[in-house]
Amino acid sequence: MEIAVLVLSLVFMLLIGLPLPVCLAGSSVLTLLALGMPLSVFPQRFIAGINSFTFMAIPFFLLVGHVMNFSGITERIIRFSNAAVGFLPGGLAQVNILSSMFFGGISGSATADTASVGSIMIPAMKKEGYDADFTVALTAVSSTCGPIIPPSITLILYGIIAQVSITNLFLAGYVPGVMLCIGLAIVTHIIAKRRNYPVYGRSSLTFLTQSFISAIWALVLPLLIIGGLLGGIFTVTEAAAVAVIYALIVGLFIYRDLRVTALPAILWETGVRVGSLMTVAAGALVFAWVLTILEVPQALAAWIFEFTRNPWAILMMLNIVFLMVGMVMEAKAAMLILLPVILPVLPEVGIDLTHFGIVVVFNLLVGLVTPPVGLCLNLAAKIGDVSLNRAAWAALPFIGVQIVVLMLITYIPGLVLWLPGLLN
Amino acid sequence: QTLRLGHGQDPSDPVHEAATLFADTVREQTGGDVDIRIFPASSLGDYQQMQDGLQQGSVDIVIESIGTLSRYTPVAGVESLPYLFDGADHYAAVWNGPVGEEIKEEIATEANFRVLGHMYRGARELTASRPIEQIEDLSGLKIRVSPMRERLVTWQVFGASPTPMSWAEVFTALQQGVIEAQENPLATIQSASLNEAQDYLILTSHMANGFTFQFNAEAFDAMAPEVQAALEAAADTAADWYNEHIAVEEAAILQDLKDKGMTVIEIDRAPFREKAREVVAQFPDLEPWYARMTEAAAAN
Amino acid sequence: MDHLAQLFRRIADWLDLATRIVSAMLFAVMIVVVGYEVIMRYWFSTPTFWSSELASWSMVWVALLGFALAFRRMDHIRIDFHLVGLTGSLATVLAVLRYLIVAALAGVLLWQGINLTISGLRQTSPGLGLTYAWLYASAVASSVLMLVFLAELALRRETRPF
Ligand code: NA
Ligand code: NA
Repeated sequence: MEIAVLVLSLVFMLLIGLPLPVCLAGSSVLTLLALGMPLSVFPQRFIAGINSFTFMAIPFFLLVGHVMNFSGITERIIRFSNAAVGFLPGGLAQVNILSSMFFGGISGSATADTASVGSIMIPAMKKEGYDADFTVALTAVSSTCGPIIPPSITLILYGIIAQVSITNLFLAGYVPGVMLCIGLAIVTHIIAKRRNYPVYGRSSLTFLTQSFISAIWALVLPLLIIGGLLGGIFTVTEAAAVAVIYALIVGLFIYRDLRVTALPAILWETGVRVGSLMTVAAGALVFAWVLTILEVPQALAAWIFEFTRNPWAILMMLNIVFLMVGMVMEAKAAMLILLPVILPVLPEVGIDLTHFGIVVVFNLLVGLVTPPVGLCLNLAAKIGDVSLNRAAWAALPFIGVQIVVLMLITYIPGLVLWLPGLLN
Repeated sequence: QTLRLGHGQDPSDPVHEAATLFADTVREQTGGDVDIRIFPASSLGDYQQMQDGLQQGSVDIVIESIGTLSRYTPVAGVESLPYLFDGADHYAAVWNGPVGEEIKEEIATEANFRVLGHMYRGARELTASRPIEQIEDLSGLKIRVSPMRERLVTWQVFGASPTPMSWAEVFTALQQGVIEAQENPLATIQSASLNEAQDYLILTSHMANGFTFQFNAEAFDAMAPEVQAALEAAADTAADWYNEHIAVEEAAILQDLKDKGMTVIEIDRAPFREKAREVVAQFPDLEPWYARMTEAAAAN
Repeated sequence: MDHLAQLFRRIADWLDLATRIVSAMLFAVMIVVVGYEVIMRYWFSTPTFWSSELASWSMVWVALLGFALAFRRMDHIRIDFHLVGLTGSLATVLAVLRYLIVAALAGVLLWQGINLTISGLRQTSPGLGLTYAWLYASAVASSVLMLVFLAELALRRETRPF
């Protein structure tokens, strides 16, 4: 009965377009009323949901993405990528992918990548004669390398929920992330040849070296983060703060594209992003608390086990669930609601939680580029001035790459677990 | 009547078994009138949030140590002071004796918590990534401690560098070397597989505490006398089972950790006990309580 | 009516600026404190006990202030692909529903936030040694800001989702 109140009110609030945290907290409050329980649960869990030192990596990595846009880091990454792969068929398209891979190694979010790399690459590619829908689709899909190549806000969140090592998750993300980029590069190569997209001459070794040196401060950051984590200098949260300080120093004193006067605005604009993002997590925590009280996770676990105990079958089932949920729901909200229900079941059937984390995050990445919600596709379509419909059709081959990589990493756990095993 | 019981341990932990025994006993004694639902593994929140929930009425029972209540009333912090208890019998004698009753009464009136059943969790021991042979070796040791003032001061006085860190981060942080040491009862060291991240187990036995069944005092006093009696009896039944179970386990756990390759160091505790006095002196309000509680050992 | 809208606009503008400044300062505190902690622990082996609490509490404030600001900027994460371009009476009805639900939720947050803040006065935090009222007051501040911003948007007859 109370479950009906919870689910129906949630769906209703989602449908009338209320903010996600309001939907999650609002339906929880109604259910608490129906249960006759104290409403203090709402602010208490809401604040507890944010008040965690581990969580702080999320605002910091959001800030890194924002600082990069003002500090000239993005431009230098693109210039270097251009010198490195611009001579391939569909040169600029390959530059777009490589830039996103480097950008992903610094930033923790896909939308930050779409916004910053996209706002430079989309106009440039259109001017060179690339089809607008192809340009938009490639920009959106390639930016999903960001959340899988560490650092990653989504992986941090998974690590917090699943209580697994975030450092291990980070290491586990490299191989799938690079696989995705290579897959995209291959499909782009084929399309570019067929459509005769422009090719540049090979750039001189001097230019390659020059652009590499000018980008080196940005390219070093991923090494700094992973090195510091493995070397025991800092925790993930602290790594994020160090990355912020590093990006600020590079922007202010080395590249000098960042002005001190721009800092307050960068901080409070990120603050608003933190407010809309972290409160989704907070609302989901209130929601999860109510689910727990209603003993839904236990019931669902029993139901899954009645169905099957085969790990491969369970993984396939969960892939389908997360793909579908990812299409209509923001990735972090989807994880916060579903994972507490699902995770307790997995170790019992022998599914590794680090492996599963990468699989989940990869599933949700697909949702970033599929209609109707597809945050990255929407954003890229807006930048490229293309209808969402056309962009979605053009994205199909790239989404195919995502699905192929997803299947590979789901059923060959070694692809994911090899690197963390090697380095620990 | 349904009561919600929350605790922070995994369902495989003896605490969960004790909770289940508690629930079964209450159900039996009340003829099924009182149904206790158990929520393990911090699924209702961490201990601070669950204890706040007790105050607000969203949770009915929490299993935690008395020391964790020091946020609400400083006297509860006495349990977190070093070398207070000298083993399981002393722990039981203190909390079931006159001093214990007095402190519990103060916790009830000052902070509105009713505390039942005393489950001795065993002494806390130190694990570290480098050998600690004497107290001086602690100098500069980066050790994770739970965020409680009493524990912070303890390790500062011992000469180490205590840092707070959420439990979820501890294993990785130890493995990567962000921190070098942590302290917990043997059972926790074993269940968290800390032997995979730490080479040395130093038997400091610097502090001991236990789990208790904690209620909202007002809500508890408002219950029917039969229900109160059933809850009290069930808490004692569960605690008796737990205490016997743990006593048997400890030696086996120590052997298991040795077998898994940990180097066990028997350290001279005299200098630690010496330093413990300095620690206690920093909490003048707790000092008289500390004295009376340690004296209970002599009387015992 | 226009007069009232004007007045609320001015109040909201002023609160918006004040909130942004506080938010930026707290964000800066987070960065500095965490950076300081790394240095103190790694190079000086003297980790601090208050730093993680100060940083976390600042983050709670930043998030809850940002939560309120995001309403005014209509920048919340939501599902609205089916509502884009919706006009007419249905749009108005949905907008009114949204205002009512958010206002009700802000009301609960304000009321329960005050209760929590009062009960927080009796608890002392281990790191900073401050009462938890400092933490829970963020809910009160956020809900008050939300109510003001909502009133401003409503007086402007804004019918798009926030
Ligand atoms: Na990334
Ligand atoms: Na891109």
